[in-house]
Amino acid sequence: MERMASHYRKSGGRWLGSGILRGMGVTLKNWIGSYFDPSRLVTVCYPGERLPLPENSRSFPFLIYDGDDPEAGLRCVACRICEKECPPECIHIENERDENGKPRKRPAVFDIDISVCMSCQICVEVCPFDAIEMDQIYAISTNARFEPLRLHKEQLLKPNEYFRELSPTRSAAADARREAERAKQAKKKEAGKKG
Amino acid sequence: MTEDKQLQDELALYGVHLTLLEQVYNWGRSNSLWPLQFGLACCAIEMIASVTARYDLGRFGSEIFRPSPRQADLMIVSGTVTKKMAPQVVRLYNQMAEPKYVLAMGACAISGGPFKGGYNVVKGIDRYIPVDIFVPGCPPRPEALLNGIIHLQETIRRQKLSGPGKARHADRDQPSEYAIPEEGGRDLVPQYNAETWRPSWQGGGK
Amino acid sequence: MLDLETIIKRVQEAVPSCRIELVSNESHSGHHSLLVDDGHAVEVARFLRDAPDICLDYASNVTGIDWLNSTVKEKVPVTETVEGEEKVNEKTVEKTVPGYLEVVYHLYSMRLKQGPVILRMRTGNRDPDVHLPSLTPVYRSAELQEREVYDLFGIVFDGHPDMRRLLMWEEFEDHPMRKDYFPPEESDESPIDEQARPKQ
Repeated sequence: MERMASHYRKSGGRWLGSGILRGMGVTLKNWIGSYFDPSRLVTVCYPGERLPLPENSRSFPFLIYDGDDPEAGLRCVACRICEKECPPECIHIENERDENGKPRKRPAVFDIDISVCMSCQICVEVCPFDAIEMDQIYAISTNARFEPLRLHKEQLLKPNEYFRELSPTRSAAADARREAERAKQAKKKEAGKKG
Repeated sequence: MTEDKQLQDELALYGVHLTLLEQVYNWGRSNSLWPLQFGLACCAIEMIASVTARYDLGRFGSEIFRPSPRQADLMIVSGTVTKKMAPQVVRLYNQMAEPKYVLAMGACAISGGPFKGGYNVVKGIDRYIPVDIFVPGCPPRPEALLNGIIHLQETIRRQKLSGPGKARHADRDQPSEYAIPEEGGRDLVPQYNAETWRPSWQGGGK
Repeated sequence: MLDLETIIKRVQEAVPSCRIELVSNESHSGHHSLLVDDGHAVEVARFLRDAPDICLDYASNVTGIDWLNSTVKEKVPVTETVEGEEKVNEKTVEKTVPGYLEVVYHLYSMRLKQGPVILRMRTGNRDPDVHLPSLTPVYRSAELQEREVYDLFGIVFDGHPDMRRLLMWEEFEDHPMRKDYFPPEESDESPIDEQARPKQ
């Protein structure tokens, strides 16, 4: 009793335990209110319901190909800039070479180790050909340590339509850039032919 | 379900009962995984977020995170495992009672992540303790952790308790406690537990 | 008031035997620093903390820097006799500047809301066992940070109440932030793991 009285005096009119009761009151109000107001049910029941992800949310990179054939429409030319710029060095690229050993402008091996990738997006920022972009997949837990977490080229290739659905703004910007580059190259060729 | 004739005959003696018991046992265990209150770094924040109302890990049976390893059966290693912390992680794992599971959450717990080349970072906690589920990401979204828990539940439900291919905790030949690394002059000694882990290019990985 | 030239004059008046000089910082921030000799660093710090108009009472950051031995190319005029005539030519000579370890303190004034004033102390060389005076008796916030500098650079702070490692364990032998540190070899390192090592 003495303690309760002194608490009341010292805190300027609050009974001992009134804070806890006020908190419990909020919970009770939310619970009873949830039977009447659906916005009080905040849980998004994964895996049935999914929260829509914002456009720029990112998880791991993927490679883009134009058209229908992944191998023919591959944008990556194996310049290896992303491999050099990746901070934890999780990208591993090997050039495809022809019979004489000369490098073709294609990657024979393009591995991303997603057990190391930190989703910094630097590889996307430095790619001069808009060949690599960030995906939003997150449901990729595995039982094994090494092989399933090392994505190879075949697993990374996705069509441009997929990227358009994923992120309309960025894909529109990338398409505009590539269109401008193509127009510039065409003009150069025209000038070269005439001259 | 069973490939061994001898085992089939043996099971025929008490066959139907054993199968049903196994399923009930696995169902009960998978739907009441109690995680250990164990968060190391940024992934711990995502783990806490997955317990909040919006994602609600409690729907999967993991309502209470136990502070004591004796009472927990899932250890979510969330965050960078430093070399100074690694012996304590292994000690906590040893103190958990069977059946116990480990979920390596985030790039740092799986492989050292962005800090792989660091002087104080263990390149993945699976070098010292057996890990059942790996959830990649930096950090993985709360939904990714929920997906990892669902995957773990499915793994548990598929576990067999007898016969070849039985679960680790049901096998008397498998260790229950693992060697605690010691702090040497330049690095942890040993650098990995050679009895249970090999680098990938030496055939490691389940 | 925090003009560095004025501070240098005031310090030289208060602690006459100390050697204090301005180290200029050519970068964008323009944070020039004051280099103090180790014999008088504690007195200088105490003066800077106690002088009522300077009042730098908060050491917000203590860090270490490792300067390796570096070679500097200098053009030196040399008199040569060519075909009986004396000519003065310029010859490029390489000089080795010995390396040292440095401790940098960022000091702020909480009461006067001023700062930062940056203090530096240098060791003579890069030996495994180097000593510098500790500023923990003056600034309590330097206590843990000097332990970190000891752990990562190997500079022993004399006068520190609790000189032991902070981030690494006691039996650890290296000082990881020194520029000649190399990580321990993995017993069977694969090419991919080797890629992830920091380049030496």
